[in-house]
Amino acid sequence: MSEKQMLYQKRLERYITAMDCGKPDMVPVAFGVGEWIAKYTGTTLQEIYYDLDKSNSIVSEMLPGLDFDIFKGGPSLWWPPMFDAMGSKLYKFPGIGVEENSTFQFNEQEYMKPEDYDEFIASPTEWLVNHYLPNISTELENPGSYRSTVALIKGAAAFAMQGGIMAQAYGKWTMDHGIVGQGTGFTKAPFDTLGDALRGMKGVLLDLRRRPEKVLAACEAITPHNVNCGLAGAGADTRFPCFAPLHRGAYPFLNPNQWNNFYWPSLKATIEGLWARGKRMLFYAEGDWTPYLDKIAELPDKSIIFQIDTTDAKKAKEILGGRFCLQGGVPTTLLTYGTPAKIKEHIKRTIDELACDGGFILDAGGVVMGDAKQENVIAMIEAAREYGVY
Amino acid sequence: MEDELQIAMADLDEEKTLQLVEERIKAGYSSVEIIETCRRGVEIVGEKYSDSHYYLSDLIMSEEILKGVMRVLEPYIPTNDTVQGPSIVMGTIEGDIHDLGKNIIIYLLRSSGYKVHDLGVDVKPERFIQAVNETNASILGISVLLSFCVSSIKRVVDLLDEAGMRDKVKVVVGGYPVNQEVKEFTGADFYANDVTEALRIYREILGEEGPVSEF
Repeated sequence: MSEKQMLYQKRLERYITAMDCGKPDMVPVAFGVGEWIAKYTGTTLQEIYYDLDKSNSIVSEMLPGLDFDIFKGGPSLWWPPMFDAMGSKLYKFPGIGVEENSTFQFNEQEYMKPEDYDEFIASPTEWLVNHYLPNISTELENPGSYRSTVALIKGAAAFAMQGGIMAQAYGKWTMDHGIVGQGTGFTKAPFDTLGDALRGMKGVLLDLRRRPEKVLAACEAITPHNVNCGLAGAGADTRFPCFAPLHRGAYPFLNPNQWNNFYWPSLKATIEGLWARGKRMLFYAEGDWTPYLDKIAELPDKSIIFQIDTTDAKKAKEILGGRFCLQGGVPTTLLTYGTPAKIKEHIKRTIDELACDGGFILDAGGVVMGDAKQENVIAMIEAAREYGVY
Repeated sequence: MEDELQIAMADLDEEKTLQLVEERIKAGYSSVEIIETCRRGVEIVGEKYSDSHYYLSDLIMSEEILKGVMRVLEPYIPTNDTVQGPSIVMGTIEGDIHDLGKNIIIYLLRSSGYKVHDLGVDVKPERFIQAVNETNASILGISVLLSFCVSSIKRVVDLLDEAGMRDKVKVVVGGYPVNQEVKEFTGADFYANDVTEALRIYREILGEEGPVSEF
């Protein structure tokens, strides 16, 4: 076994032990290259988004100097050519719709109308193909037409190309640097699928009062698809969790009654459906989830990794600790406005409070954006190693 | 005893609110009376939000109901273009297209009788300065969700300084990523990351001047 393979094994064991709530030799550290890298490499964000080879080579150059365990990817979240091929209205990308060094943004609209609920509930994927794709893509406006068919092929080809390029890059990073990828597969809370992509936030929040039974039926109809999505994207892999960015369940979007009745049941069913097949979820709780920790504790032991963004970390530890692995602990604003000294001090405290009996992965709380400072991100990794030995 | 329309509004009962408004128009109530009653209902909604009894989804629903009421009453309402008094300029900073927080604050301020100029989203720093200049606003509210865009807020404050206008206007930054560090970095006067705190700050600043009118 080569030195890098041994390093990989060691880091993998660290990660898996923490996921199972155990105490590894040291606190595993998760790290992603964020958009902040652009300003240190003389490239524009547009180049980083569009040119995968360039963005992967930036990562390759960065990895040798850093000692962390779990790689979260980056620096860009999407590869825009797939969206461009279909004339997608969903996003504004750097240089297209927003300035070349501005981050991407989601163009939220009511792509699904209130009157579409029944048809959607009857067959979600059929409705998506027949109505959603034409609604969100200028090139797919006339399903079955020459233009639409070609655009669909181009979009699918781009998706496959991206997958191939990224799989190759991850393979190389694993071999050359011994890093472990954070997850395999992707899914969402059914309520977020409905709210983010289809009805829009305002649409879904008003539906809760105007047509609550439709919201419930739609979430139920989405649930098996979201279980499948978390598994299918990951092939047969169940060692690593699927990533689930969670949105409207954060405080204070929904009142407790709405959270209990509309957000939670279908998310819980999704998690239980995944866990029944041995698949864990990275419960990426963006924002503050403190009021809901008791409900989250109802989940089967170890079925999620709970990401702490602005949730009260001590309460999360108290309520979920021991039964679920916790990940996070470093506020993203600290990476922007802090100093290496402040970060070091924060990491020491965080490890003392959250990592003591294992089941903890140190990570930035949320998505680290373009304004973070490189020296702070590096200080985070170094301090984690300094204070993270059990 | 509390008014039935006020209760329906506060309870977010859309159907009943609109039905009562129609009934009152027929019964000869003035639009000002009807709006004032609904406004008191909205005030209760705001209080319930502060008490954590209502959440964002409830605030959005109340905004939607009030919009419905205004649509019904529109033909009877004089425009408030001529209203004089302290005013507020608000917008989401350049590079950011999120408008939920901004819209909720504007809605609650307007329903409390304050005059608010909404510059929309993705607003360039220069446009904020121009608007403060044109409206003589005493508060400039800047909304941000993407921390990436915070440096443009600093640019607004710097431009106010350069234009010699810094003392004329209080700058309030609001949004999810905002905290004491962001306030210090940008040079803003106040920060808020929830609706209740934002309203408290606005009311404190405008306290002496008071709202300009009832709508």
